Amino acid sequence: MKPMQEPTFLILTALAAGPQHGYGVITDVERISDGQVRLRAGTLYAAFDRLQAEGLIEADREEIVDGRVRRYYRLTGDGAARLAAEAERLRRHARAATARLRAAGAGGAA
Amino acid sequence: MSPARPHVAGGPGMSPLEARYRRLLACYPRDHRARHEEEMIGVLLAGARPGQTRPYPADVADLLWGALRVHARRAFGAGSAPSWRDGVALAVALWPLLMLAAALATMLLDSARTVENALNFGVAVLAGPVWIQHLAQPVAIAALLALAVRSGRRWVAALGTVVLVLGLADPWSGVLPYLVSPSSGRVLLVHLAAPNVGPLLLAQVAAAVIAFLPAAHRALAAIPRRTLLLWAPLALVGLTASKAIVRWVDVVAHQDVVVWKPVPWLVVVSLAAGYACRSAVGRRAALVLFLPAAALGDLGDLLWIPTSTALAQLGCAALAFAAGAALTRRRSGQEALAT
Repeated sequence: MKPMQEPTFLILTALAAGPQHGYGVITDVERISDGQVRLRAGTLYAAFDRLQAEGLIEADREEIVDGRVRRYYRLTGDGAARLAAEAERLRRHARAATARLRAAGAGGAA
Repeated sequence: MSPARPHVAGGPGMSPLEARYRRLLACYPRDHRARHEEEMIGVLLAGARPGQTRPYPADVADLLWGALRVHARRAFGAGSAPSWRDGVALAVALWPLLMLAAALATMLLDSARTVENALNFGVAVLAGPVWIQHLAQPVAIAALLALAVRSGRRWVAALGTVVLVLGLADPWSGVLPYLVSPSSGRVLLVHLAAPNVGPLLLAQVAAAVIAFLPAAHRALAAIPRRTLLLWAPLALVGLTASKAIVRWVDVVAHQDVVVWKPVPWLVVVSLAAGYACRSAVGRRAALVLFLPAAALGDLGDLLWIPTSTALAQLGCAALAFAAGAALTRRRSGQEALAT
């Protein structure tokens, strides 16, 4: 399976907490990434378009705010499984990196 | 909190910033806009600073890049495979018909020359009513081909091919006198290599292939009969006009006219490509078929003519394409209103 790109990973992570609308995902992603990733509308909706086609997310409900449609999106079962697999992959890599750095640090200190 | 006011897209209450965002969103595919435009405007305006009237360059770049990605996914993504399959099948089915039109255009011009000679030198010098043969022959061949392709009757296609091959192989059969020469069998090879006959034979063989290929036949059957009846004569006229320029204009004395020889056919092909763009299958067929189809006419020497002339000719093609696309858009708009 192809590694997931960071914006995709963060969008799915934002939706893992529950259904959110577009602007909610942008602010949530900013929060998750400690302000390092600020998604813009073009990137977000291109990702929504692809993730919906791949069946990883789906439209949840709509509400009208100030006369404008606000659509909520939620993670599907496939989306949750894919996010879990990706999180596990990243965890493995992070664990390996941390272990090696620790070993190297210990060797260097001696 | 202000009461919810129904939002009218592009309405008079729209801010300059929103109008600019909407113009950018026009770059997205129609179905994407129908589903997401209001949402995206909402997100963009929610992220705007107070008093902001123009989108930030980074937002502009991001929206355009997003549009490109959505278009690319529509065009080449996993979901586009059936459209590509049908588009290629349609191109394969249309190709022999185009080759036939090119061969017919050449034959029409030959017939015109024969009739001209007959009028100038007297009909008596020609053995038999040659001009009737000349006119009847392309019609007979085209009828067999059209019938084979249209009805998908394999035996008609096979018969057409057999008739043509027999006519080519046996100079004395008289089935297709124009295509053969009353001399040795070697002539056949000359004819097969000759541009006037080669495409015709290929078209006939390809017609048989189409009749035996369900995908190609299905693709062609999906084109409305009215559309075929409109574009077949247009193709013939465009090809004949492009070929006629070289034949009837003094090439040396009127070089300035002769350089325009590719344009009539190029305009017809571009118009058809624009017209085909209304459907996903048509767009793909046009993409596959455009260059080979354009090459069927006399493409001229685009590389050697002055740049301004080349650009003017390409401009004619671009205008024709835009006209075809606009015509289609208006038509589908009217159909949408009617339903």
